Amino acid sequence: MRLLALSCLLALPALATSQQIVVIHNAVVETLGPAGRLENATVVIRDGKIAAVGKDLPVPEFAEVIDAQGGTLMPGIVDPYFQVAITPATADSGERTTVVRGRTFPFGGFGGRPASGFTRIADNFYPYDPGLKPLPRVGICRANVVSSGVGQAAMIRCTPDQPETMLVQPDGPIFATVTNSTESLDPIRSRLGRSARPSGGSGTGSASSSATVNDPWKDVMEGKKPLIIEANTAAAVVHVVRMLQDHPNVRLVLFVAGDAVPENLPLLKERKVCVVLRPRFDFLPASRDRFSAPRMLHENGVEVLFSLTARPPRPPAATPPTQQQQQQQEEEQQTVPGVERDFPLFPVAMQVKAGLPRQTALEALTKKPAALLGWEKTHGSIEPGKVADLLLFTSDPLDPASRLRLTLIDGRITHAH
Amino acid sequence: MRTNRSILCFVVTGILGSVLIAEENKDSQSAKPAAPPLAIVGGDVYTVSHGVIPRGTVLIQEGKIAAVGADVAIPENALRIDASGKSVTPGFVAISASNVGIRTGTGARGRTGEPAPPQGVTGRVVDAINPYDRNILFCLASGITTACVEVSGGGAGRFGRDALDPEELDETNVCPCCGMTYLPLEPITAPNPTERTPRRHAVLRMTFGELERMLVKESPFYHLPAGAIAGAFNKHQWRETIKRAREQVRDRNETEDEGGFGGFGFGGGFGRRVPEEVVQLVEKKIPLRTDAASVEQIRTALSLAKELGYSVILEGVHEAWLIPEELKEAQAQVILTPRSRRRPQLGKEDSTGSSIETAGILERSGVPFAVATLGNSVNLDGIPGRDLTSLMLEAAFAVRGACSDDTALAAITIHPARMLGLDKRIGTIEVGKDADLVILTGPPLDYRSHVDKALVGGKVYYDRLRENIYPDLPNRPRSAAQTKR
Repeated sequence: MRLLALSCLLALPALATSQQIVVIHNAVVETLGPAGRLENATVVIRDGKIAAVGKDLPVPEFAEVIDAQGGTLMPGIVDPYFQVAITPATADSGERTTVVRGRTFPFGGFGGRPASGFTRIADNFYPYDPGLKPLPRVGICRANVVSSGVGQAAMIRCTPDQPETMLVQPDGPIFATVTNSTESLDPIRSRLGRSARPSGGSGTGSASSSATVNDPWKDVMEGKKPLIIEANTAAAVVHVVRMLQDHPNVRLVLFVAGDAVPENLPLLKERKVCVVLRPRFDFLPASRDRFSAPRMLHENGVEVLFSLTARPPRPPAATPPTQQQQQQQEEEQQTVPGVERDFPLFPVAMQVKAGLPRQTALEALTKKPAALLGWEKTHGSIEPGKVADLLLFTSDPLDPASRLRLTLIDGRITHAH
Repeated sequence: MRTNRSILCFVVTGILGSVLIAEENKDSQSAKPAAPPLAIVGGDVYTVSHGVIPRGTVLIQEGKIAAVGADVAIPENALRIDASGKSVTPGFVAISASNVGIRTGTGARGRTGEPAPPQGVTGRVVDAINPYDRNILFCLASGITTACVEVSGGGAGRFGRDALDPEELDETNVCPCCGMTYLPLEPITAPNPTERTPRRHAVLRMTFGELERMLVKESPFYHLPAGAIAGAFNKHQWRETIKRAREQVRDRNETEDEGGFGGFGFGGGFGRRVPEEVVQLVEKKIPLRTDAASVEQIRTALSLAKELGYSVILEGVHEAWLIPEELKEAQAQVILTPRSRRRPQLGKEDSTGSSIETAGILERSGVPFAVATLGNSVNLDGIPGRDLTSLMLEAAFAVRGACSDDTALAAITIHPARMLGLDKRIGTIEVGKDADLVILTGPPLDYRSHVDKALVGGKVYYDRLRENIYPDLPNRPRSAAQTKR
């Protein structure tokens, strides 16, 4: 029966692209909005947007009806830190050599500062990457795409079946990877300094990029765009916060490992930093005792966001892969790095078990990252007028027995299982 | 069960306490004028400069020592630390340290205790500081409040050149037809020696968790390995370098007299400009630090210092006991590790090699010396008592060499402080100096004495009851993991 409904559904889109209405009824709706949790509710989707949410809503004519069978509907996951492998040094930052009369002369380049190239993700994003295919399967509907080094992120919607329209916001926040060393701190320092100057805004390192017209660093300085920094040690956090002391308007977002949290807690509270974490347990500094960093941050009033995905493996070598490697690669392409494809939210469930409030955990996956990326009015919760990025689970999304049945992106079924 | 719970409570306060305390202190810092004075009362105060005051008081105000004595009026609002039956000494100064507070890369945070390979800091020192390095706590737990940390190793700077010197390519010509190299037809000139790369140091205060207060100064001396000024060719090069430095100083002074920018333009005559440290060396702002084990090496270093006019710190002076008068006459300062050994030459057992008596001999000759440990890093895995944490015991070995207790204590406080150019700020318990203090459970050079509290700038950064550094107290959890079991 369900299969029949589904197959009808999948056949329909071609028929009604102008006025497509989808109704999901008999669902528990985690709106994550003011309406809270609604039992036995109906969601009406019109043209990829949520038209109505509530109990006993009339079903419009010509609507495709999906029976949720008592399952839970939640907003689609927004990943605030989705890493892709892009070589940070672009052509204009690398060192080149020329040979004149048998002698080799190096010129250009940033000698000794390997990561100082500026990577604009939008210019490097490859929507046909098979690594993007499994994203809807694990419930990730939107992602802020970053890589290592310094650069400008791009925001995508995770519709690998429609690769042309994946890149929805090419001018995303600024990201940077930092450790406690001058080499990694200076690229940020110099650019912040340059943007602070009144005449600033000319050139961001990559002259070929069209983003130089409106300097993203200026937006960062004015707090219009967040600055997302991956700090790889607890000490690096200190250096980052110290570096930004003179720039109080900068909205600092830190992507850190949980063990960098306890020592820096007062600092993070004072600066009102927003922290992106992977949902996992870490060791307290200088001990083998485990703790939940998300819970610690939440209880101390620091905003927590979850990023489910991990750093992707290195891109395959240029040599033709062996059969075994090829098999391995194909397997990897079916999974998102760091996410278990059959129970993507299990690590979050463990955080809830460890004392993180359930509501906070769900918001850290959806509402908070959407707000961070400037999508608070359109994404992150199930409210009328918002974009219909929805996940339908067979029961409570955090329950290990639950299955992600449908992923809707812009009201369209992108994954069905 | 009850005890278990209380122990657990203790552990939790230990872990969260540090955070809370850090916060409290931050509050007190922001309200600086109202910060209450701190009085350490009842302990035997080893001032180093004015002997021992039994049951004395040290009053601290705004991070500085405000009063010392047996009869000090304590303000009513003062916080008190009772040190009855304990001793109070200046914080120890480690003249040779590495891998403390400066770590680059990931993971190497001292958790496992394994010594990370010393990596040079390529950028600025202040950017590489790790205020959460656990080695800082280990230093504090052994009384060290200031450490001169090696930042990068530097090269020997021997004459000739490194095999991979890129300049070498310039002297090889390539045939434009066949691409093969041929030797130049001119007579081959003596190679232009590469500049010596000194070992870089930075002086760090052990303010665990507080980056802002850690870095005191960089390059407290110009540190060359012994080989860099040994042999005729190296000596010549060193003389040339000093000569250039003097020219540079002269030119700079002249430009300044003319009202121009100092140290700018074509100063320094021909050739490369010398590093700023060498300029400071000839201006006698910093001393030269170098290794000199044998009598011959010591004499070489001393004669060069006399000839070229800079002050000198000699390290690893195994045979100093043979020529203490020469050291005294040259006004050299010495870094000594009493336990380190140098084998005497066969047949010259009485006039070569190291001697445990060196410390005593140097003291009687009036040569100031600092004591350094056998190992520069914190290493708790290997043989105990050889690494940085055994600094106090190493000073006790100076006493084994017939040196007085006072001098031995000075050798880990004021003498190294003077070598770092910080003798006005730290090294003794005197009014006006930084309140870098150590409260010990017993006399300073007793092997059974533990550090009870360590203060840097008037703030307690290490408390024996709070930290689980040494399993020295009975009936105390050794680690949080054990209590849970």
